[in-house]
Amino acid sequence: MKSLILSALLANAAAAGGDVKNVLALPTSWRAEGGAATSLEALKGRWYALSFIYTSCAGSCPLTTKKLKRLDDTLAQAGKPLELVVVSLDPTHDTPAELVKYRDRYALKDAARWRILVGDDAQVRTLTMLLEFKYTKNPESGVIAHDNTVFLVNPKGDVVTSMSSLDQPMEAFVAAVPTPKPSAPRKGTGTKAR
Amino acid sequence: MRAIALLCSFVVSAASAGDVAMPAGRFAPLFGLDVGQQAFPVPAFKLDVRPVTRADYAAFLAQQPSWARGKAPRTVVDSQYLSGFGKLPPSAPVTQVSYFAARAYCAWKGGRLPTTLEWEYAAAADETRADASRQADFAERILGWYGKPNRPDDLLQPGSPKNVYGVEALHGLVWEWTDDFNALFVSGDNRQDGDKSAQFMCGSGATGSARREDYAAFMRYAMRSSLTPRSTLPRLGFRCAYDVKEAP
Repeated sequence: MKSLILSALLANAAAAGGDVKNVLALPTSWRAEGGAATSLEALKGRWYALSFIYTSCAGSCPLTTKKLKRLDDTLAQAGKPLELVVVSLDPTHDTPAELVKYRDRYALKDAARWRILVGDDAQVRTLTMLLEFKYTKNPESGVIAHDNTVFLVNPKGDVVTSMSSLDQPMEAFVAAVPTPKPSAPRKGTGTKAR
Repeated sequence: MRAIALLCSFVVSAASAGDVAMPAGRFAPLFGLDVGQQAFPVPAFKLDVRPVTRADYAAFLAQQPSWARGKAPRTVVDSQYLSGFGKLPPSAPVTQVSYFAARAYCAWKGGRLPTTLEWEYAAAADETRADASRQADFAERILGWYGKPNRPDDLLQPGSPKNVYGVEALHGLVWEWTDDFNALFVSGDNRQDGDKSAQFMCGSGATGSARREDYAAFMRYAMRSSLTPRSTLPRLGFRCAYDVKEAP
């Protein structure tokens, strides 16, 4: 009981310490790749990397995808595999069929640690605002200008660190990912049913 | 308590200025157009006639107590959220509200925040012209407000008169949140930030814009880009927009 009170106090102290980016601060709802409803609440209790792309993006998104693949490989080799959550910035275009094509294009067919989420524009705006991730869609050309950031999210939904998905080295990001305890059940490390 | 809430909602509905239909059109915002693009299409929408008042916001808080000052967590509001809320009359626009709080209010009303494009489209109009943003007299009036020192009774002023669409106080009262307020890739002087977009190199920010003469809009974009979604300010409020169903 005492420790419960203490942790509650600590949580309050952390919240009072200034701006906190937490992906669960407001509810958001998403669809998984097959179209089933899901939420970020479902990922509570796990560490994951979070990033944004849209599948028709010809600019920086291919680089982001390649960086995420390198991050995935690096973390697996370091013995701390991590789930990679990729959120679509273009929900109207990124249908389940387009997501299949995206996986094919980047040889992600069997990448079980990857999960791509699609919401509606309001959900994307809520989540990106919680992360202070900027994007804007040109209503005529459909081109989306956007930040290039990968976020590391802890089991409580707090953003622990972030890096550019383009030109920033990933060492600090990798170092911030905790090594799973051998005794603990390996939650969220490739056990996703597909 | 219930009686108070009921009374509140009665007073609000009696006092609320309502919303007006904004016709579909085309508008050239200061930023965002690609080279060769003249304007963006703006679908029809509805917009509140005036900014949300303290009375309006009190009715929201009565029904959504999780947004009360001291209850809303620091993940969605800063430490100054709703400070001074009761110090001004209920008819004054609500200020010291974060983006997330403003958005929650509009969702509660069945609406949303206007996009920056929609807001600028509405705010380019004056009493007689749908787009007065290139007119020197219009810009002068707005800049006159931006340049005026703050006074305690500022928030009790009427703001700019009804424009051709029937929307009031888009200028001369409070700055206002927009749904995509941060969606501008401006980051100080890009020579320092290593940003590649020459659009925002010091000095060329103005020449790269759609309307060099609209310095007032430039000020608004600069203001918005200084905010985080948790920010609250004594002269930052909001109004709501509403989707209209497309004609069959």
